[in-house]
Parts: sequence; structure tokens; C-alpha cells
Amino acid sequence: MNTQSDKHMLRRTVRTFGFVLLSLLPVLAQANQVNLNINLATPVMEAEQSHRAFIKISLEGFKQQDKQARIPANVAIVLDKSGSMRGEKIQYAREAAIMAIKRLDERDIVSVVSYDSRVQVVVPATQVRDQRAIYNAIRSVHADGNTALFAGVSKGANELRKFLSRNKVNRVILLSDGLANVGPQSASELGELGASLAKEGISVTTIGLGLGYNEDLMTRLAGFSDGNHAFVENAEDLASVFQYEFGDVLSVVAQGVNIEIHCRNGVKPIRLLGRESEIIGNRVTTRLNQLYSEQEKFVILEVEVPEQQAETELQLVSVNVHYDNLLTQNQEQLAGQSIARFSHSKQEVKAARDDKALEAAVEQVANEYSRDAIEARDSGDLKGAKKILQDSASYLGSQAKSLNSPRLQEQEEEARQDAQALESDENWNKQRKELKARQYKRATQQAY
Amino acid sequence: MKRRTPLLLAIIIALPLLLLTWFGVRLQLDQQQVVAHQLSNLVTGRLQSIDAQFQEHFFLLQQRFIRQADALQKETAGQYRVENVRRFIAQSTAVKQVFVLSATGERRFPPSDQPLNQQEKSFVELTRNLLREPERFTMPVADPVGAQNAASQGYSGANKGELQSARLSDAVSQKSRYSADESVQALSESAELSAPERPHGWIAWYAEAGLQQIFWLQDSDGNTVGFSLNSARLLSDLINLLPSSSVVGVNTDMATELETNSEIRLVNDRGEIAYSWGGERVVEKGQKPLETVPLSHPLASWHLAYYAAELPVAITGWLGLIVLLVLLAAGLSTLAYLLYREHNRELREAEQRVNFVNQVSHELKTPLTNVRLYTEMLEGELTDDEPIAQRYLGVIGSEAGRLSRLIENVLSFSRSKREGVSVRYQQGIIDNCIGQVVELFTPVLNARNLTIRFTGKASHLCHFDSEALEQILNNLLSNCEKYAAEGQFVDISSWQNDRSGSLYSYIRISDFGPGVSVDESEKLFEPFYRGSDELTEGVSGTGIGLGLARDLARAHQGELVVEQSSLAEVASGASFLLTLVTPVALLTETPVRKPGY
Repeated sequence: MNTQSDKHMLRRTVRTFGFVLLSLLPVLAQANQVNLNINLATPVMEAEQSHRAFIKISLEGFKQQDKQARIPANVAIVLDKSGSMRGEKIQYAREAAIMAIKRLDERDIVSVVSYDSRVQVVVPATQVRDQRAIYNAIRSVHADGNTALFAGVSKGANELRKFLSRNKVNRVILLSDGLANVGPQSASELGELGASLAKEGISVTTIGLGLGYNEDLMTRLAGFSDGNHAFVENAEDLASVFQYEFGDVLSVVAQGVNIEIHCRNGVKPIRLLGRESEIIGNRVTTRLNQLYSEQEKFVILEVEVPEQQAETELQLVSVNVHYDNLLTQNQEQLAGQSIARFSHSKQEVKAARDDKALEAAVEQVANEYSRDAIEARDSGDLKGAKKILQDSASYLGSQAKSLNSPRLQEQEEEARQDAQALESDENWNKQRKELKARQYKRATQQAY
Repeated sequence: MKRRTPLLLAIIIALPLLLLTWFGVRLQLDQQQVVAHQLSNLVTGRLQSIDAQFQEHFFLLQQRFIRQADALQKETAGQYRVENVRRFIAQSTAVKQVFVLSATGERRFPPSDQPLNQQEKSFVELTRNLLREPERFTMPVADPVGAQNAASQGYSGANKGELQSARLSDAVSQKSRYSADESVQALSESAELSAPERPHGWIAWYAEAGLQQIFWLQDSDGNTVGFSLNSARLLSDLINLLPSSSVVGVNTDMATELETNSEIRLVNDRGEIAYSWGGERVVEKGQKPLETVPLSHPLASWHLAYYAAELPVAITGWLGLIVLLVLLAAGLSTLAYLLYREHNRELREAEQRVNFVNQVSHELKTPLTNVRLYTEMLEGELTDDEPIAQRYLGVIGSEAGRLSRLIENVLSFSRSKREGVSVRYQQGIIDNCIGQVVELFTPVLNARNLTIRFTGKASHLCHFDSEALEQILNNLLSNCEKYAAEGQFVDISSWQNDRSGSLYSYIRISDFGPGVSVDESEKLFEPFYRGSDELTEGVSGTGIGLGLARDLARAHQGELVVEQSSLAEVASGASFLLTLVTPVALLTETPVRKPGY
């Protein structure tokens, strides 16, 4: 399967760059392209039986050739300076922001917005030239007041818009330790805003500090705009999270990634695991705001495959990917397909199994269970939630055994602990934040 | 007198103070009103300009949607194919969902014959009632501009221009299509000059979390295209139209004077603060906004509220007034105190002087009585062959008499000031009493070549105070002696008549001296007043005689006046008329008093 899609991609590459380029620098041309892999977890299926199959569609950013050639960043740091940030927290946040900005240089644009009940533009969007002035401005931020999170994000995005460009990494980095209590405060409203910002190519990374923030709101805002999300319990860890985040920002190689999947031959899409998606009929679309250098991002599509005769081949899906290559500054396209074979032989079925793809699929399925468990726990169904997690754990356990995967075993262990932790009320707040952050990371394959 | 002075001083202090306070307070209140009015105008203007900004935002959105709807119509040749609309939704930042209704009210998008995605499903659910009444989308609503002059100018000027340029920037074919549309428009709707576009409008409706905005328009085929706004994005954009709060030391120029001491809040339909900005934290809990301005359609149930700290201007104004008043009060009080002290000192000094004179007079009285007694006794012992000694004694006696009259005057005066004038009635005959005085004065007046001509007709026995009458006559006659020496005669006439049951006695004393002018005739009776300089020159006198005489006459229920002669003033002399009420005594009683000296 791999080779087939590789071939396909190669053909695509050839078309894009032309024969001359290919003949001269075939390796380089390929190196500057996003890698599309479509892996069917069970490429050979039992005949005369309908199946549920997982298809892993993964994209891997190409390697940045050298540090100098990286993509300029346009970053707005939005700091919560509400009363709850008083003391150590705001100090660590300031220092973390300053440390992070130190990684930027003149090519980049940075802006800093702080918010309490009001919003202050601490550093209007500016090139990172006079770093000292920026640091001084950041150090003038002191904590007080309420939490106008929505307005803060709005103003942060507005600062980005001053230099908004498809050729830059446009990102709002939101730090909050509390509930939004001025302006819109529901997860759905923030999600709507995130979705709208994503359409402009702005993603919002949300960093939740401490145990007071609304993890639903933060994950939704990040999810709809395809930013990162992190739960930081101790303010001391902020610096490293900011470093990771800026590392991500500075390693973006492609943006505006649209994935369009068509199910063929009577195959029905059931769900896309991990990401927000749109399923209309047999067409599934989703988008990623960016791909990072040498990082794999994938989605798992669960489909229903109708009964087939033995020894036949069937095209399940065809996949189209559009993205902006930031290095070449072109819009590029990738295409691929997934073909399944049907056989009576169970051995053949087992031998052909793509363990890696299946492992990823299981991981995402378990992740979905974990989400369901939170929902059940939220609605007060403690037993149900626990049962979901226990089921998830045993599912993970059996799969880990058959796939011989230590990763899944780890996840099984996690699920069991989570099931245990569900019961204690006092730790639930922290537990929930951890869970949400972990789920988010799994679903989006966040690097940190 | 003693109580009146502090009262007067208090009025002197209080009156200007009260006046100034009154005017100051009124001025201050007026000024406050003016300031408050100006501020409220300013604030309202500011808030309205924000509203106008929002309206402009909606207007720009509207222009964009009109163009996008046209583009959509053209792209799909009026079919509004599902993929095209979905692609549009996927790309548009401001629009959450789109609907298309055909001319007959059927839903063309979201499609009713194709599977829908989650968002479309929920949108259809939400707008079921709304879309069931297509007539909602036939009434053109006024464009979201026009609340303000500036904004309407923008409508006719800038926005129109923007619209034009936007159209020009479109492809040529598109442009020609636009103009074709417009010409059709002009034909079909020539009556509606104010609405050159096809029917369109904004609808605000409540759904889910709050107010949702829809812009709809009819395309040239009669389809209604509706754009449902992403309300979170709308709010975000509106927030970005508003200023952020100032940071200390950084971009302070962003905060205008009006906003450093105030806070403006954007409040949504649920009464929650959607956004606020301003200077220092000025709002306390429960504080009422200084001014609220509702926003125009389609944000109709939203409003802007302006909060401000207490006006510092007013406080300084009041402070100034109070300081001014305090200073003035202090100044006036000091002045009044000084005046009062000065006045008191003068009073005390005068009193001391009067006391001194009184005491001296008292001391003089006894020896003088002795002098007169022994003079009389000596006169009795002298034989007639010693005319020189007799004459000398006569002078001593008359001068002693004058002195004692003077002392009597002084003592009476001071007594009258202390306890008022009292009269003791006794039986007697007026003429007898006059006769005694005349007898007493004859030698004195003779010495100044004056002759008394007495015609007495007041011979009824009646009650009167002979001492008071003597004192009055003494004073009048000594004035004659002093001032009318060149007149040669002093006429004294007396008469009595009965009027309304009581007996009135009249005594007129006239001289032929320089007389009294009309101006002076009243002043003569004021204590310590002395006649004109030429008259009084070289003549001694205390100035209390006439006043005392009149006081005595009044105590006697009578009057003492200067008679103005009808003849020529020159050398007519002065004429005093004394009127006394003298109750009639019984005839059986004989007059008691005899001249006793």
C-alpha cells in the first residue's frame, strides 16, 4: 500500500515541479513536500462480511532545510492578568513570554495583549527589533481585575491582522488561569470565534494555568482554530511550555491544510476520529491549520465496508489534500487512495495487518471513549463514566496484546488510573483538566 | 444702644455673606448644570459616534454581502449550487450560515433534497419558524446608517465610493453585469430613489445564546439570499473597532481626555458586559451610568453605558466658593470686631467723661448753695448806705444763680439720660411761677441792657411742676441773655384756655435778637447742638439747655417749639412757644408755693 501511494505522490510531485526540476534535483523537490500516507489498518479483509475499517490518513511536514530559512512568525501573546494571576504566576508568565520572544528575530512580528476586565495592548504588533523595549513593556504587566478573555483574544487577533499573511505563521498564544467572566464566556461562543479565526489562517494556542480555567472553552478555542492546548499546573513550567510552543511555531512548514475524503464503492463514512470534521453523504472534509517540520499529523477515518467477494480489490476512499507550502509559497495538492483486498484466508488477513495504523486507530478510539467518559461524569453518571473507562482499558489491553504495543499498554494503564481517579471529587477538577489536555494532545498529535 | 450695635455689626457681617453665598451657590449650581449638560452632550456624542462606527461596520458588511451574493448568483448561474455555497461558507469569516429561498418561498439552501452537515442541520432547526415566513424578507429595512450626519455623509460619500471602487475592481464582465442590473433597477424602482439596490435588510432575532443577525437580499431572480452572521466573530470585530484600555507608560495617546476618568461599557441584550474600556478603575458596584445610548438596529437591544468618577471640577468649584466665603466672613468679622471695640472704647470714655462732669457738678452744688445762702444773708444785713457793696453782692448772687442753674441743667440732663424725665405735679398758679423767674432774671438781663415785658394771663389755679417750668424758663431766658442782648426787650406772655376738658397753659417768650433760621429750628433741640458759628462766637454754653427744656415740656405732656414769624426774617428775633397741660385744681385750695428763696 505504502509504495503505491508513494508512487502516486511522486507522480504528483513530478507534475508540480516540472521535468527539468525533477531531473536535476529530484531529492530536493521531494524533500520540500509534505508527505501524504494513507494506511488501511486492515488492508486484507475477510470476504463476504461487512466490516468496520480504520483508515489512517497522515501528513508529515518536510524537514526545514536550515534554521535560517524558517518561516517568519506573526505571534500575539495574550496574557491573563486578572486578580488570580497575582504574585508568582504573573511573574512566571512574564518571564516565560520574554524567554519565548528571545527566540524570535527581526523577521518575526510579535504583539502582546493583556487583559483583566479590560484589554490592554501592551506591545502593538511590531517587528522583533528592539527587544529591550518589548521586555520592558511586558514587565509592566501587573495582575488585577476580572477576566475578559473573549475581548483579549479578539484584540490579540486584531494585532495579528496588521501583518496577517499566508506566508507567516499567524498565531495567538492565550494564557489564562481563570474563567472568562467579562464578555462571552461559553465554550461554544469561543469555539465560533476560533472557527472564524481559523478561516483567516489564525490559530489560537491555549495554555491553561492552574486549576481555575475552563478546559472545555480552552480546548474548543484551540480545537476549532487548530492551535495547541496545554495544561500547566505550576507556573514554573510555563517557560518550558512557551518554549515548546515557540518551537512549534518556528517549525511550521505548511499551512491551511484541507483534507477531503471521498468514500467510493458504497463505503460509508462513520466518523473521523480526533478532529472536527464535516461529513456530508460520502464526503468527509477536515482541516489542519498547519503542519510542522518532521511532525506527523494524522486523522483516523472509520468506515463501513460492504460485503465483497473473495479475491477482489476495492477502492475504499480517495483523498485530496490542499495546503500552502510556506517554503515555496505555493498552493500545493496531494492525492491518494486506499484499496482493500478481500480474502477467505484468515492468515492472510492477519499477516497483512498494518500494526502501526491499527495502533493509531486504537489510540484514537480509546481517546473517544475517554471523551465520552468525561461527558458521562459531567452529567453525573459516575458509574457509567467509570464503566466506559474500564471498557476502554480492557479494549486497549486486548489490542495491546495482539499488537504487542507498549504504547497501548501505557494508555491502558492510564485509562485504569483515570477510572480510579474519577471517583474522588476533590481531585476531579485537576483530573478533568489533565484528561482534557491529554485527549487534545492525542487527537491533534501535539508535539508537547 | 448697647444691644443695637452688635446687632448692626452682625447684619453687616451676615448680609454680604448671605448674598454672596446665595449668588455663589446659584452660580455654582448653574455652572454644574452647564458642565453636566456639556459633559452629557459630549458623552452622548461620543457614544453615538461609536454607534455610527458600528453602523458603518454593518454597512460595509452589507456591501460585502451584496457583492458576494451577486458573485454567488453569477458563479452558479442563479442555481446556488450546494458546493459553491458551502465553499463560500467555509471561506467566509463573518458568515456562519447562508440560506437561499426561492421566489415561491421554497428553501434552496440548505438543500432540502440532499444530506446536510451538522451545522446546516442545526441551522435549519433554529430558523424553521423564521424561514416559514418569507414575507419577512420582502420589506426593505433602512440601511444601518443615518443615525448620524457624519455617518449619512459616509453613506453618500465614502461608502458609496468604496462600493464603487469595489465594483470597479471586479472583473470587467462582472462590472457590466452590475451596471445592467442597475439599469433594470432604475426602471423597475424609479419611484424609490432612496433605495437604489434591490430589497434588502437586516433582521435581528433571538436564538440560542442571544441576538443573531441576518442580512437578506433579493437577487434579480427573486430569490432571497440570507447571511446569518457568526455572532462571536461579529462581537470580536466590534470589539476591535473599540479602543483598548491604556497601559501605563505605553500608548497613552490612545486614551483621550474624556476616557481617562471614565469607563464605557458595551452591554449586550442580556445585560451582560460584552466589552469595557477606559482609564483608571472608576466604577464602583451599583453605580449608575452617567449616560446610556441604545445601539441602532440590528443591535437594537444592546446599549452603550458611560460611567464616570465624581466630577473633580465641581468639587474645586465648591471648595473655591467655601474658601471665599470663609475668608470674607473672617475679614468682615475682624472688621466688625475692631469697629465694635473702638465704639465701646469711645462709649466708655464718653461715659467716664459724663460721670466726671456729674461728680464735679455734684461737688459744686453744695458749696454753691452755701455761697448763695450766705450772699442772701449778707444782703439782708447790709444797710442801704452801702450801695457799692450791695451791687457787688447782687452780682455775686446772680452769678451764683446762673452757676446753680447750669449745674441743675447738667444734673437733670444726666438724670434724664439715666432714668428719663419725671414730673411732680403740684398746685400752683403759672403766672406766679413765671413772675418768680422774671424777678430772678431781671437783674441779670438788666446788666445786658435787656428789659423783660411780662404779660401774665394764666392765673388759674392748676397742677403743674413748678420746678420743671422754672427750669424751662431759666433755659429760655438764659438763651435770651446770651444771644439776644442787642434786642433790648424780651417779651413774655402767658395765657390759658380750656380745650376738650383739660386746661392748656401757653407761655411765649420772644426776643428781638438775630432769630433762628428755619433750618436750625429743629436742630436747636438736639443735645450738644449749638447755633451757627457767628452767633455762638465768644458765648459760652453747653448745648443741652433747649433739649432739656423740650424734654421737660414733653414730660409735662406739652411741647416747646420755635415759632416762625410771618414777618420778614431780619431782626424779627426768636419766639419760643411753650405749651403745657395743666389740670385744673380745686378753687378752695390756695396756692401752696411761695417764692421761697
